[in-house]
Amino acid sequence: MISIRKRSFNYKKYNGVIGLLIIWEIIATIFEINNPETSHIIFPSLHYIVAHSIPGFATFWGMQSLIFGAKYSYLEAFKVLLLHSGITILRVLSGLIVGVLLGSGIGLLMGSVRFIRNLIEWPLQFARMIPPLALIPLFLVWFGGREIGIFIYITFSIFVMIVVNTIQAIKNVPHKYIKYAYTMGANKYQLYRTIIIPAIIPEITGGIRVAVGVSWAIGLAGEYLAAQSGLGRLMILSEQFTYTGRMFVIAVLFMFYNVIINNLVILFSNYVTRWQEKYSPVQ
Amino acid sequence: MDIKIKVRNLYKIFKTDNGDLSVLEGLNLDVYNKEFVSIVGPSGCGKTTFLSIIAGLETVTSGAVYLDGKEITGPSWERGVIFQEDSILPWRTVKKNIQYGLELRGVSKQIMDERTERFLKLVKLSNFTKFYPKELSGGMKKRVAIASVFANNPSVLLMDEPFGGLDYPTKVKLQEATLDIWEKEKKVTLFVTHDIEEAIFLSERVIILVKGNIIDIIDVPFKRPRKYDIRTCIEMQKLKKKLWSYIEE
Repeated sequence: MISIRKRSFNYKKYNGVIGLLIIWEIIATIFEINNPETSHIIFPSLHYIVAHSIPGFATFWGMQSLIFGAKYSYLEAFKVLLLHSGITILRVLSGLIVGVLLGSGIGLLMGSVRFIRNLIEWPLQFARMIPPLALIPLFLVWFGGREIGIFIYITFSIFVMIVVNTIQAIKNVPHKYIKYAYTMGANKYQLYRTIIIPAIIPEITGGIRVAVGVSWAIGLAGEYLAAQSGLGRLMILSEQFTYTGRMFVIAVLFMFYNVIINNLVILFSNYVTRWQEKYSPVQ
Repeated sequence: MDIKIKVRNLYKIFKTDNGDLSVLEGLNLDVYNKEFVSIVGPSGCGKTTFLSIIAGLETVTSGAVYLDGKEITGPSWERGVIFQEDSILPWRTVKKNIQYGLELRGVSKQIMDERTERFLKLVKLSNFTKFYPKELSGGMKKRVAIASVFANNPSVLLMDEPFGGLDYPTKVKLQEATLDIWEKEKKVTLFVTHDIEEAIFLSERVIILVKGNIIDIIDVPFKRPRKYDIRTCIEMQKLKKKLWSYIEE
């Protein structure tokens, strides 16, 4: 009723972005004319990125092309980007999904069984205080650069976040619903199934939206330091060979994937909380 | 007539940081089968606590409440409660809300559908089965709450200022709807309110609770079914005046 959304395409929103790109291109071109040798390292122009940086990814196809070079090709570059994007997205999503499922499951278990809560609440509170990035060296020692290490690392970080989120959400369930359920004849199991779980879903989906951002960040950090593949690895390679343009390309790819996944999560959370009243303070 | 609810020597003391707070001081009461009883009193007189104890949501300090001779020790579907705040479940549609209690008790699909249909009709919400509570007005939500509790077929109905926050016309309509259903179902009903007119209009007996004690019980002479003009007749004014004299102090 209150959240009436305009569906029509509003081109004015994109004026700022287009303006920014034009200014970029003008400045970079002037820079390029004055410093033809170094401009693409410090501040590559858009036409340089399209003509050189993108097809240049072809040289990232395996060790051999990295050392001996390879022909620039859009098709080969596309294959490279597709492969490494796939690897990164798979890592991030699998860690995210398993972390969220484990986190909300254990959170619910902690909420309902006092023994379990007493056992793991404090260790978790301590674990939460460790910045996830601080754990990377530890995971490197334990797992090397192996895939399972990156997976466990992302899963663990998301798990800790979501568990705490779930426990808080359970504490916030309005008491009136619990009283109502008992007077309608609910037992403890039914209370969880029919009251606690539906009542905490809005807060959990809020937590998931935060977790998506975090999982990109820590997934990338893991790839910087430990992995031999993935977009994070390509980013580090580009940096080592001073391919600044390619770094921009990867950044844009990240933005693109993040927008898609974010929108999917928003669609999902709007669906599961469709019963909830929504107020939007931003018009 | 059979006694349905028996209250004996009921005491309730809340322990607070500022010392003990005595809310109920030795209540005794019999409520008969098929009776509609209202409890009125100034705020803080203990009426909501009293109802919560009967619902099993609050423990007693001493004394006991019996339902059909059995002591009440906790909440049960046999004692349905309609609360002042909206307690219908916002994540369930109107129909699912009305089914809720039956679903918990594992009633067969056929009986569930039958009863849900019936109470949807009784509260005139048949056209709103798939609506979520957020899409309903305050009065409609209350009707869902009433239908949900009645559909669960409790043997006692406890209503705790259910129409407290509503505007007058909505309130009048809901009172009449409540009586309508009550006359069809004849369930023992305890109705807590601070609205004197409401208490008289609805009930057989009005219990006046002041400072944790029952100071008087008034029999209401009006015949059923009751219509709106009862509210304005002389008899009603006299009863209101009498009740007011107790509560004023």
